[in-house]
Amino acid sequence: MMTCKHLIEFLDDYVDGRLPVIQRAAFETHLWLCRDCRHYLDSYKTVIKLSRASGKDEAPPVTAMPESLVKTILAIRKQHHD
Amino acid sequence: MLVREHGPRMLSVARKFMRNEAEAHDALQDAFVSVVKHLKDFQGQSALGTWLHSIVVRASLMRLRAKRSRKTVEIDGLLPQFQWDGHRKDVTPHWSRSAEELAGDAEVRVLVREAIESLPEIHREVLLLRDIEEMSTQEAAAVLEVTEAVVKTRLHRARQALRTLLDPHFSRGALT
Repeated sequence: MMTCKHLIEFLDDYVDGRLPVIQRAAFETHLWLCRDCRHYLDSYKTVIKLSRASGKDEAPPVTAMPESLVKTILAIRKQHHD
Repeated sequence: MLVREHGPRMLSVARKFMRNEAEAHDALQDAFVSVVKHLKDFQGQSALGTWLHSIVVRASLMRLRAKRSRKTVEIDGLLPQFQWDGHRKDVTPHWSRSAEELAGDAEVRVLVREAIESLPEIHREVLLLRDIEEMSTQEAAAVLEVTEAVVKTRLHRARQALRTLLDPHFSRGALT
């Protein structure tokens, strides 16, 4: 019988669809019986989406290098070669 | 030219890590110092863009490690707690807002980013590489010089800790 603690160990494999069929059945049976684990799984999936979304933010993509930065980098390269 | 051709993509990567234009520029400069030093060692096993990407990621991580001053949380206290029989010690509240709704809220994204930044370095870095920079487990393991199993374990613990940090904001009855 899968417990809440076991379920946590299998969480990522379940979310990624990598849990073997027998373990998945035990996982889903536990979910069916345990409201807390259902809530935990839902919020865990939300955390993954939020973590990914937090990297996609306001700044527009960089299409060209700021000229001052190019000059600084070229100066660094020159300094290294000299 | 290397800087003009690959610089914009590298700067975009540095921005995702540093979240401050000046610091992103510093990280990019560090990356190009590394490129100048190691270009002769580049054997072409990977595409040049891939090689440059890994260099700017490493430079950004090094910058983050160096500037770190904020107090971090202890990871163990943020992991779920269980009774002797494997059942949960505490009630797990339901989060009332959907993932899509929360992810579309700019204030929430800032809150999430702050929570990520409060995690211990080894867990924060894995989250940054896997979720923010969207690297594979294998790529993240190569950058961090650890095994893929270590990346998976750290990512799992980081996500659990992040869930605990966000729980007071999103559980039923919370204002956010």
